Amino acid sequence: MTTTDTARARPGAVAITLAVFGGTIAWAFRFGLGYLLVPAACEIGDWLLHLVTLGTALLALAALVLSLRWARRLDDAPLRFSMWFGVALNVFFLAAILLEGSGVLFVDACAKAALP
Amino acid sequence: MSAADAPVQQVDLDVLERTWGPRRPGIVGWLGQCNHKAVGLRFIVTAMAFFLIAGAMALVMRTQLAAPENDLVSPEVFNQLFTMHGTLMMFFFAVPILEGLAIYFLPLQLGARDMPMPRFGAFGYWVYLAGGILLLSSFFFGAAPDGGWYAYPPLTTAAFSPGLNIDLWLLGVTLTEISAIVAAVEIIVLIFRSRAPGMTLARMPLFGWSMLATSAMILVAFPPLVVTSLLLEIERKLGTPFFDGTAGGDPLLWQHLFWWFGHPEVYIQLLPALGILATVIPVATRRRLPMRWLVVASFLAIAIVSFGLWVHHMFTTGIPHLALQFFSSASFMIAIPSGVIVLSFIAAFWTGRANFDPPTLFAIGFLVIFVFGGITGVMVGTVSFNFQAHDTYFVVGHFHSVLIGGNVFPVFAGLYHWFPKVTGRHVNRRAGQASFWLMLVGFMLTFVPQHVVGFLGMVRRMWTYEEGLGWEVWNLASSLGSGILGLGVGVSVVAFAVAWRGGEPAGGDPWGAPTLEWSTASPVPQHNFPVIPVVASAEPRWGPLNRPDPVEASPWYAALGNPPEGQRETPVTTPIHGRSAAVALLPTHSLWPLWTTVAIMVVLIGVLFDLWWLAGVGVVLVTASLVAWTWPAGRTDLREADIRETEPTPLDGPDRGRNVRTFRVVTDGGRSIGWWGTVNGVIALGHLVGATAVATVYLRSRTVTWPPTATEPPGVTAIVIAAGLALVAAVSTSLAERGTRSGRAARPVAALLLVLAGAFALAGGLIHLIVTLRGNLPVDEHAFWAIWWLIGATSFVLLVSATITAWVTAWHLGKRDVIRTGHDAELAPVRLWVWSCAVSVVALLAVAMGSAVWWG
Repeated sequence: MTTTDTARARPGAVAITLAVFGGTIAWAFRFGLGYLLVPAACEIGDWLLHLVTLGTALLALAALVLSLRWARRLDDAPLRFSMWFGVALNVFFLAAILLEGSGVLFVDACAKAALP
Repeated sequence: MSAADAPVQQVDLDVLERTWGPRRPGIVGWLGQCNHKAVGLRFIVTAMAFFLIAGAMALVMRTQLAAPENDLVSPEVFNQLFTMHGTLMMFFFAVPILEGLAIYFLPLQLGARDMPMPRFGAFGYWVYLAGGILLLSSFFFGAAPDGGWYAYPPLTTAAFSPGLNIDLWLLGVTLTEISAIVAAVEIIVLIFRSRAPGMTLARMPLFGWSMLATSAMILVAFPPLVVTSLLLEIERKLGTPFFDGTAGGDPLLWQHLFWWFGHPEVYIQLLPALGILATVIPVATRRRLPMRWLVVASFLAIAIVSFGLWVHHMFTTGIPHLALQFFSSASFMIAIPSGVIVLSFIAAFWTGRANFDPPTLFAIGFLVIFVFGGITGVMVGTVSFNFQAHDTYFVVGHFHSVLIGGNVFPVFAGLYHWFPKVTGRHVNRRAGQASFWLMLVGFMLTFVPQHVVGFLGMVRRMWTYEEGLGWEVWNLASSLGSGILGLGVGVSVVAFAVAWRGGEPAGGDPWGAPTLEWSTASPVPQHNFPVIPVVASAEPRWGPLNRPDPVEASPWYAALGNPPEGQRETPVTTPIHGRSAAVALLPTHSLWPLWTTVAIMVVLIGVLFDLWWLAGVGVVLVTASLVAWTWPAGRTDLREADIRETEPTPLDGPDRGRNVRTFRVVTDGGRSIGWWGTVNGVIALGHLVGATAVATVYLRSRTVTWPPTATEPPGVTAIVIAAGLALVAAVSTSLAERGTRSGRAARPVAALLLVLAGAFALAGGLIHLIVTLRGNLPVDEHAFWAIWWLIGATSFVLLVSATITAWVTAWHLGKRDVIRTGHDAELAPVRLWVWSCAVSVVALLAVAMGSAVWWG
């Protein structure tokens, strides 16, 4: 396959969705799982939450690489537009995953308090 | 050939005007109007009326708080005032006015003839008005809601709030939520299927992008509020303990479901406002908006992350600190896309040539106030600070900065910007400028002191306060400021009213604006555009291919020939690339959306006053109105044309001239408007069902005794059979649809399959009804039984709706003009809906049984 062929090959709908929204989906998983697994982390250790952060960060990174690659290569203008904002979304959600995940390093998973 | 080269004949314009105008003269014709301009304007005017009423309530509250130990109003009335002020502003002004602006101007910006489902849009307005009337009628019953705008139980349960107050709040708010969902469905279908040929998603105006993100958010955020409002209403009427911690329920369930709606709601109010500013600022600065694609990405990022913030309203409820930290981080992160948009606006002002017309001033006001509110938002998003500031006046000052800066100022910018398009007249420039300065100064004087007095310890919702606490001067300043703010609003209202009749004529495009709405006359004719525009850039009226006017007849549409008078045709384009795909027929104006709303009100009045026979009559009336509403129109001209696509190269890229396609009047399957509308309706249904399932799982996770006894719920076998019948009904609709589409099944066979589908669904629904009614469930003793009852009742309603849909369509199959052999424009949505109802019934049953069996 020549470079021109690669440039013109149009990815499928699922691939486009994953490239544009992969980071978003990864963040949603990290957010939901993180919230639900805090009591479990209190029982068995913080490594559980670090694992979730690592896995979802890698997914977001993969989506970022894919969207960046296609944003440079695709001919179709609307698709290129989609890929560029996919790049922006993936960078943003990767940062969100890392910021939220870093909190596990500093906050005790068992601590809680309420106003009377 | 451009419009300038081939002017449209006046006779054709007259036919268009008669086709798209009201069918009847007088008040009946006016009430029956479903045109997007009529519906949009009604939303705008009604929302402004609610804004003024709620603003007047705020002034009374500020007068009460101007001095210590004041007794202008009683504590009871003060509770009613802050509840109604918040409710009217949040539910009846901030979102509806943006929906109104979108319904009015988005079809014009996208080059459409009308909204894709005009009767549905009219229904949305009438339901909204009914909700407002229901809420305000509480004053006449002496039962104005008084539980705060977020109505936390147990305060709002029947034990602590007897009387009609909270019932009126719950039903009124539910109606306006339904109205918002209706508008969201319509706007999504408009954006994906009714854009002008050549308008790719990349070329869509930013207001369209903001409304797309907002509408998607509404479909996800509003159904849970509908569910939780209904749960509370059922608890008040039947004693079901969904929110009673002593009987398997949990008051925090309300907070989770409410804020799952409530925090995205803030951004639902913000995003369209940003879209308005993205429309106004390029005009004000004479340049395209910098970083356009990054602004679009920011809209989407805000829409998504806003669903990760709901617990930041619940920091003090005992949730583990580490979980709070996740929500706190999300609160910080949302500042990034918000900042990108603000920087884009600032860059436009920095590099453009700004004027100081009223729309520009209000846009600048947004920048000042919203940035201030955003910074205090990051403060309250910090867990440690939030514990200190929770429920103080600091929070009141913060959210008014966000809402007035992020919603009211942009709305006023939009009103001044688009007023000449609606009326053909200019608003007085000096009046607009005076209004802006009064509102800005009034805002600052009102809300900056509230931050200070919050730090000094004043909590929100205080009726009065003692002298000597050091709060007097701040409260007096705040009250004076509110008067100035009110005066500023008043100046604008008077200026609009005067200009409506006596303003200077504005012409078609007084601003030299880039978007399509300025390509047609002011006021806009009934048919919007003489010919359907063709678009070649993101700023159609500024792009080199379209200067000076983008209006150009589409050759494929010309090849079809003119429709007969009275046949309302609108082009359907592809979702991403905006290529011409087909022509859809839109229904005419109708009073049935209004009658349906009246019938719904009959049901609600029956429920409110425990007149169950009246509620039953209302249900029959609702059903009859819906059947009449969807009754097929008379004979239509179903023309076809095989033509070679000849649209300009920039619109269709390398495919130009290659394809010979058949364009049809009447669309099929995935191209039909009905199918797209149903898909969005199914998304909303999915979130209704999902919220019910989440409530079940949440209550199960918080309760040790679930189910409360070892006894099996009554009628489990019968309910499983009912779920099976629902699935059989769904399969029958699939067979009918496939047979009709392929032409294999004769029309009577397809009709018979639909009749059978309806019968299976009805049988399943009746089994649910009988089991629910005859099971003698102790619904007031434990939340498990209440959930079991709720799922039975919901399944009954879903399956009856599937029955009616299938049977009405079977009846339509007898009319050859409506459903032609080989076409599935009506059957595909029916199949989708019946399947959705069946799957929902099975899913709810699985969750209820799973909660009892798997974790019990």
